[in-house]
Amino acid sequence: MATSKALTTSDEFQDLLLESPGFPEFLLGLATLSASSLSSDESVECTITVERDGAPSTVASSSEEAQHLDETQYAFDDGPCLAAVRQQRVVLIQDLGSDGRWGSYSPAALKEGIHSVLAVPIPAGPSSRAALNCYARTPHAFEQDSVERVEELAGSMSRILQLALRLHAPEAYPEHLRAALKSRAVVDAAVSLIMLQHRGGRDGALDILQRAAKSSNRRLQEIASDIVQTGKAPSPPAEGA
Amino acid sequence: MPSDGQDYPNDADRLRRGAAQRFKEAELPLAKLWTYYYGIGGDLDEMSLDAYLHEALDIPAVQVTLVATAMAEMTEGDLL
Repeated sequence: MATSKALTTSDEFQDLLLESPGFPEFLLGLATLSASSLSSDESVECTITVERDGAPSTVASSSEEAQHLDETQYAFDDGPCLAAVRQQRVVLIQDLGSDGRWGSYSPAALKEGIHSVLAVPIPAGPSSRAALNCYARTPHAFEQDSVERVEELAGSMSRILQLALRLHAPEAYPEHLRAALKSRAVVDAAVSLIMLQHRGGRDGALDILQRAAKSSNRRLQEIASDIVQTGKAPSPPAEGA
Repeated sequence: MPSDGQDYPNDADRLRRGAAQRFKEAELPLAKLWTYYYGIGGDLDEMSLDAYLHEALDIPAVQVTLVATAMAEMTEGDLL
């Protein structure tokens, strides 16, 4: 366990949040920062588990082995990290080889070469639960001072995690519905612009859009997007055309 | 024989039959077609679209062409 390295600063957390395109990326960054902040002579791998009401849980992992271990727990629906998440309590396993509490999880973890596990809840607000999970390859890797360190780290993540959960709320609509909503917004904007420029009606504007799409062999939404960007509406068809 | 004044309804009939035919052939799920049609500015609800595609309802000309455009763009896939 590291004692020399300073705890990851809130600035680093904020940069991470600003740079992450989505929640999974943010969580992955958080797991990686945690692992590097906690590793020294002894390498520590970290995963972060987040369960949100009404949304599938998200797991991010600093390494593939740790990822497997978290998935193992979901397969058995039991394990130290799930206990930490769901009961919001610290779970410390000094030596998986002699700790009888975890049933089929222990052999699976030992097979991955993991001997110590420390799982610490991260306060995540009223509708989410989270935990920071640490794995080490030697027994008794986590002593009292390292438990305090991990608890401190988990506590320092709480604010940024809650911000991230707000910023990246689960999408209310699946992808194709969002695409339709976006497309509709662009088409409506183009229709409004055409109406304004030609002092025409909505049907006439839609007609102009369709003609422009057909004559250029492009999608209606692309034509609409061009119109919105350039602010130039295509000419109406000549009388009687 | 239809007089000149009946050209338009006949045209609408033809378009509607064609749309119904294409809808059947394309095997597009109605919900997907409606969503796309909505995305390009369509104003009808899904039930009316369904009725139109089963030749049970006449809809405004501009909606007719929007439905046709939606079907064309969806079946073209990534051609464009």
